[in-house]
Amino acid sequence: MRKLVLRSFKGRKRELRISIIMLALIYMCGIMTILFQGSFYRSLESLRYEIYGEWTGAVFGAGESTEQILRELESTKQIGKIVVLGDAWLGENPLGVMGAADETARSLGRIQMEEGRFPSDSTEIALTETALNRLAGQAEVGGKVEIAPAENGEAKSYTLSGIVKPWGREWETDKHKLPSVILGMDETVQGETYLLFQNNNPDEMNRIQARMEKLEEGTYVCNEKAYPLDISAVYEFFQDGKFVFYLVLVAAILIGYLMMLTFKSRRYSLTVLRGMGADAGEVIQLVLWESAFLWGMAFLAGAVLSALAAGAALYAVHALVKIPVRLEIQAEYILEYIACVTVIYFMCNLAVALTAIGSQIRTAFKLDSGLLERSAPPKLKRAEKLTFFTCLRRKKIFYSKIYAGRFVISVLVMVVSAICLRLFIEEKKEYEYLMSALEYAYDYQADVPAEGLTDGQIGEIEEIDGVKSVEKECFINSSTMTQDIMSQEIRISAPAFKDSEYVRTYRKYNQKFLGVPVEKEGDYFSVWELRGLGPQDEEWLSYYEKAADLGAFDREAFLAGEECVLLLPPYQIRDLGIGKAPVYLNIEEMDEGKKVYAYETDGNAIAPGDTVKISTPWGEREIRVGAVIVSPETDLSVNARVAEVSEGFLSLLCGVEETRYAYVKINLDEAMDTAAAGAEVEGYFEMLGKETNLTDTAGFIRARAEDSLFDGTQYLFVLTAVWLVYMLMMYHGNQVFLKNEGKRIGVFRALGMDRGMLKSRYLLENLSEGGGIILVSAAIVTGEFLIRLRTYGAYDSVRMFQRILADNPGDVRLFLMALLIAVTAFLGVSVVTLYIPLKKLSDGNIAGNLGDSEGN
Amino acid sequence: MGVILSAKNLQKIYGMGEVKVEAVKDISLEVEKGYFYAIIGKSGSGKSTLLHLLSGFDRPTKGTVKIGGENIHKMKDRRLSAIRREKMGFVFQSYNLLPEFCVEENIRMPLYLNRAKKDKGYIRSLMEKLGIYGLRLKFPSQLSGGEQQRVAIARALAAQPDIVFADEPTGNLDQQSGGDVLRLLKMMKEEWGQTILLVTHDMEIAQAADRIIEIRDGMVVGRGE
Repeated sequence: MRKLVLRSFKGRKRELRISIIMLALIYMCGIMTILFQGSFYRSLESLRYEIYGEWTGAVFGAGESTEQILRELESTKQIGKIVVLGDAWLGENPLGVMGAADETARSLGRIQMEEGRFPSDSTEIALTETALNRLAGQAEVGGKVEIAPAENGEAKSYTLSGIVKPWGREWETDKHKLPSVILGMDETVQGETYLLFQNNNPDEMNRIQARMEKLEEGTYVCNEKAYPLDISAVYEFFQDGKFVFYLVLVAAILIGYLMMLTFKSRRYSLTVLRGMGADAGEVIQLVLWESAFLWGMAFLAGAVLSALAAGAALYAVHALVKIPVRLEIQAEYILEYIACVTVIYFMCNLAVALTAIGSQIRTAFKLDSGLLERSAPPKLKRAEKLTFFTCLRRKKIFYSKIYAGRFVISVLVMVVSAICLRLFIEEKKEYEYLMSALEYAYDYQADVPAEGLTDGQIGEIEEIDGVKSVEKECFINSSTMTQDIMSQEIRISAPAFKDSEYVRTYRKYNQKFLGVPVEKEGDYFSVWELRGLGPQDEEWLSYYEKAADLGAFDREAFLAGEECVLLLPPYQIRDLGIGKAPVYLNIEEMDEGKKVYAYETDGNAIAPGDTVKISTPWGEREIRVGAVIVSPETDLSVNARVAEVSEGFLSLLCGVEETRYAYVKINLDEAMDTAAAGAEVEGYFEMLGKETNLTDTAGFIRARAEDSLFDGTQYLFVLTAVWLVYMLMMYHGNQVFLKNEGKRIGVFRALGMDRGMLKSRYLLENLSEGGGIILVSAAIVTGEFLIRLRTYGAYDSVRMFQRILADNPGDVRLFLMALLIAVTAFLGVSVVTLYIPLKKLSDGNIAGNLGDSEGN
Repeated sequence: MGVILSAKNLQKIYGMGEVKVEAVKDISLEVEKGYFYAIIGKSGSGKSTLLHLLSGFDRPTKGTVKIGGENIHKMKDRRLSAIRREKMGFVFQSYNLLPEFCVEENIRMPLYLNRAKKDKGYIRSLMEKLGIYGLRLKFPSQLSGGEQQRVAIARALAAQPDIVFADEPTGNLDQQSGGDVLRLLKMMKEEWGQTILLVTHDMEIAQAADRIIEIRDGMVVGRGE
């Protein structure tokens, strides 16, 4: 039987070559995807664990009951313990939180030593670099340090065993600080217990949370940084092997397609064999041997190719996006995929054998290629005049399924690849931009007005070595500083605002925008931010002096908090992409078709000297109107502001004794030791107890860059996978199509069509099909781009659209480039798999074309 | 009657290296205008290969084929295609109709390719004579084998060629349909004066021809009238 199979292979080299290539590519694509995605996601996971620790949950202030609950659960893998003793002091200065961590806690938390070793008992101590810096050179590893467990308390001598790397700030909560002064764990160490545990069962995690809340023994937290809850659909799809099912599904469709194309010819040869006397067992045996040979060759080729391709893809990721990925072989997924594909392949072959066994053996049985399924012929009223277009149209009607399939698949591939390509380039550029714009700075943002920094505190920060400058902004923002949606507005009211269409429309759209109930009648503006200006905001102060239309801007009265400036320039209601809102008129950007709302200065209008009341969630206060601006503004953007007040007034308004700056940016001097300066800044905020609102800008930017990197890599991978599958389908589909087309070429040439005419016809035919595909794809991709463009800036008029295009030439270029690359790739694949073989067929001799092909 | 086609020392070898098959061995012949020729031989004797060489479907390894004094194998593709359009007609064993066109469109295809003016009267009379006028709007898949072959004959005659090559035109047909096709070919010769070069393995069919050329092992072993 084996000999018969091998002999039969010799006569079907072309068909077998296509089948082996197809099957090998199916194995290759699947295994490569598993290898790549597995390695990529595991590497990212490892990175996250390195940064945020591998623990899934922690209980701060845990008691024995908590520990018992955690230990009872079978799904809990590890439990680590951290004991926190309290603040350690160096005389009058706090040094940090003192505590000890057992080995499991150190491992789960990825607490590592920078120098030296972990303390072995409570006589030894390890410090973070920040804490060590506060000792100001009084200690070195191996030496003694004197630390007191309470302010001005009795100091105790410890041996400094090493320097510990800083812990992730993400661990901390306001109430529970993590130790930066670490003792060795022994029975003498007593204090508040933090339990870290690892439990990867999501249901159990929910149960633990519920039980902890019921127990009320401590504060329960999840490690959301290491195990993000709001993971993207793409991430979820790839992270836990669900994609293997879809890979098998795609493989099954491709195998089915492969079988369908050769089904009739195989059934024919098997039925002939039956006619010659082969029994059912022999037919099945033959098919299985044949399948085994093909499978063996395809599997070997696929396995080797997949390893090479995955290696190349990972190397490309490493080289292109500089992400540290290492090859991880997820054997269970790979075996699962191989097993499923193999079973599907053999089952399909068996089905062919069984169909042949079940077929009636007839002497009139004809070889029917069955390659191309033709549609039913149309009903004609009269014969049509033959032209190139009639011929093309008729062919398309006849082979509509083939053409429609090719068209839809190609359009899909073009659209997906153009979008993915654009997104990949965007993400790559974003990553490069972020890394180049990496600034060594810290951002502080207050949750409530009273939590802002004072001038005195800012002065102390400026004193820190390595701090280059400090930028500060005094403002209140009701939408970010309050959680209560009903109080998310700041009202600026005056009796003069009562019957004004200008005020009413402004209020309506702003309230809709904020999501608070819209009030039709009222004498107030609704805004969500109010800024306080100080002497440092010279640009604004001098601008108001020049721009005042009604009254005059009195700088002294303004800064003293006695007067405010009212900004009432004309506006239009514009669609911002995220909702409609009033936008102060900019002559260059105005939409001539839209109504302009101008403040009514006649009659009972607000005038300098009148009083307005400003109400906020933190207090309300009246203020005299100084200057009023009613003319269009173009110099400075003042959108979404109605009143400007001084920082002093803002403090009074919010009931804060001293001016507080809600946003402070601390710029570090890159010429100096930014790590040391950063540690000092962090230490200062720790001392203030405001460290949780402090953001390391560099870390933040790095995290965003990593996100871009991750997304970009995914787009690139999807792009590669789509093109591999597309090439596979185009190659195989076109091979079959060409087999039939050879005969048509033979007939046309026999009827006297010369090669030039034939080639030009095919060129025109391919161009018309390709042109249609490109046009439809370009239209879809352009539509998607236009929708996406609205995220850069809303456009609700032609002028705004032109402006956005002009403002974003890079994005337009990127869009065009992505489209061009997708079109080029499509043309390349079409030329290689379709046009060149057709040209080759046209160059062949007529006898060959007519003879090679199978009967009609 | 003049010579319409002549072949001299035709040889065709298939295959490369050690595996070579000499399908046609040094054949020379002349085809006179207005005659019905039958090339007869067993399967594998080389008769179809000879027809392919004479019609320019395939290139000989050696030898010449002349039409109107010109060697067709030395001609540029464009010229040879023009000769095929204007002077040659073909009837195949497997009909080779274009499935996406109806009967009438298939028949008119050579005229379209030749950019010839449409002679409605001629095409209609052709279809009527061949008994396929009633089928003119049907598609090949809706016809029987005999009907398809009659359409193929009509297509071969559409451009009123000087010579019609027919490769086993009755091979796929029953006796009745085969007889009809043969009668039609004879009628073509008689009514329109066409030269017919028919390849068959069936002596009975060959006997309908004016002249018979017998091929065996790629060589002409007999000629008769």
